[in-house]
Amino acid sequence: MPENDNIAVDIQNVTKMYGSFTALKDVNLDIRDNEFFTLLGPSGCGKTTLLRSIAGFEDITKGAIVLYGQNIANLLPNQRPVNTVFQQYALFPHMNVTQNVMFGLLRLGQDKTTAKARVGEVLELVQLTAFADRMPSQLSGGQQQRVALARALAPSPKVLLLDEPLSALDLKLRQAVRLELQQIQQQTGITFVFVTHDQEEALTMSDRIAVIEGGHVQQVGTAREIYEAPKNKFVADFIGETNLLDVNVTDLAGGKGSCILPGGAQITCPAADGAHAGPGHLSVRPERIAITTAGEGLVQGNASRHIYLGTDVHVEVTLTDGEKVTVRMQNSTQIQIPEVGQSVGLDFEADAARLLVD
Amino acid sequence: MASKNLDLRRFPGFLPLTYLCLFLLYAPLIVVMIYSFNDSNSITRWGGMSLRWYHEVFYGVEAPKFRTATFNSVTIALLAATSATIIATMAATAMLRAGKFRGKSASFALINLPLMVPEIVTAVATLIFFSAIGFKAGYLTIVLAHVVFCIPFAYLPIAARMQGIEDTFEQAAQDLYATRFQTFRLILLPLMTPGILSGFLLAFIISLDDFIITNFVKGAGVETLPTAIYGAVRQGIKPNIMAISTLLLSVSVVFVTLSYFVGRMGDKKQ
Repeated sequence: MPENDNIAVDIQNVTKMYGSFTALKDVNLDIRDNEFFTLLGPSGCGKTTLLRSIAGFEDITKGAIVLYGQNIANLLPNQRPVNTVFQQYALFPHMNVTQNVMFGLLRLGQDKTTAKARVGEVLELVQLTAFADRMPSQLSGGQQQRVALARALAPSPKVLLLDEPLSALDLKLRQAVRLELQQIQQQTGITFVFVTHDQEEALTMSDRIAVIEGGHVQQVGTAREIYEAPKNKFVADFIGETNLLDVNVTDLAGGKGSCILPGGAQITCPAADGAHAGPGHLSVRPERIAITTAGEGLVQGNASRHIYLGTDVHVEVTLTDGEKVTVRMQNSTQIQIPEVGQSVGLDFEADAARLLVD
Repeated sequence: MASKNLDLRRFPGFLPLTYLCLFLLYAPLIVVMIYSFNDSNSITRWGGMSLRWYHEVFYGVEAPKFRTATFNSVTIALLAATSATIIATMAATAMLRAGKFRGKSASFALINLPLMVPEIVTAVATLIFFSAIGFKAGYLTIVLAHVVFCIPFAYLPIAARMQGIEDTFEQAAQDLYATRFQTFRLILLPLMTPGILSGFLLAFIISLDDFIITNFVKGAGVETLPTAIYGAVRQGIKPNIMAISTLLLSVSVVFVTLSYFVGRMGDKKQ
């Protein structure tokens, strides 16, 4: 992760209304220089609207978008020193690969020889030198995606915006391109703002992630922070899988909280900022729970279902109060998976659990 | 796919009905085409195969008259189709790329209205309009009238093409520092070229074929091919008329076919 606190994009109180519908509500974000920053959220959450607002395709209703100290909120798209990789690539169908990549350079007033040299550079970066004379229709999906990337990188934008660029690729290719994108970001040192609804994509590629839902930024942090210290129910549930137990919070102090689990056991565990006393939710990841013999552990229940996942097996345990908890167990001969119907105890370390804001 | 029960071919009498329609539509044209190769002076009696009436068209006594009329027709069609295509392209850009504006539906109706107004009404109205403003009937009045009624014919294929072009191409161009005009010239226009050509060809042939409006606004002395043919027919139908008609029909068929294929050009590639 780059140790750099320069701000590349400062999004200040950005609100976007479509008629009476609020797509973005008072969004504040600092995207740092030279960082791989991901906007993550379910479809319709406003992440693409935010990206398009930075690119200039959407006029924001209120607020400011400051790019390296300059407010660009009122500039036309062609006046903003940012480039976009579009979801469907939008390669110009009547131009070959070289002409596509050169387009931005010529519009910036570069002469043809300089532009040609730069085109050669970026095509090498995306390993498409051999395809310089092809038309977009003669390329595979993965190659088109690289051309789109090369075209957006060629003018050396201050910030590169990527709008779900991997969603049209098949799974294997997507995984390969992820690594490549990360490498290119590190090589070029350009700030990447990446939009996706795929949490795995976000976790593996990003320096920092902003989780967005309902036009609000729910949480900003590194992959680890967001996964291990989710702020609220939405983030905990959206990023990975989690169990949300209904608990009664009795005491809160210094980032820790005490609560009474179903069944009566009491634990003291980390609590998110803003958690309050009374009925609340405790998040425990399925892989952090261990199954013990009945009567031991923190909560008691019955194994009610197996879900076979290949390397892992999910065991669904119905607690005595009817709540269902998923436990992730490795599918190995060393580990005994409880039969359906068997009474079990569930145990977890207090530090693996987290009290959330609703 | 249509379900078996609704299959048109199963309706009783469908086939004879089809043949009757085809016969009524095309029998007269075929008769004219065949008799244009007739060696006889009569338009009804077959006297053997010959190209003499085609020779007559190009070198006979009436040849200079028809040559002038053809020259007028073609130049008028070129001028009218070019102007109509430019106007239609601008109209399509405004209708499909300028977002919402006041009077958009009204504009759409106005662009396409000439297709629905009976031609004779347009003809009379245009004549009255020109004489009201003191415009002398002649070559120029024909061109102006043709530009107007050609616009919707040029507009339809152009707008259809533009509708099929996603606006992300234009966004990508603007994102890559192209101004609005550069975006139009470098991206939208090249992608629209097949539609524009198709619209031009259609407008050209509509103008070339027009009789009613032309006949009203042409004034004395200026003839186009259709009005010249009409004039000749009034003095009795001679076989050379069939030859001219056949030639005109061929040109029409070629242009309409060309317009269709050009309009589809590049569709598959996207």
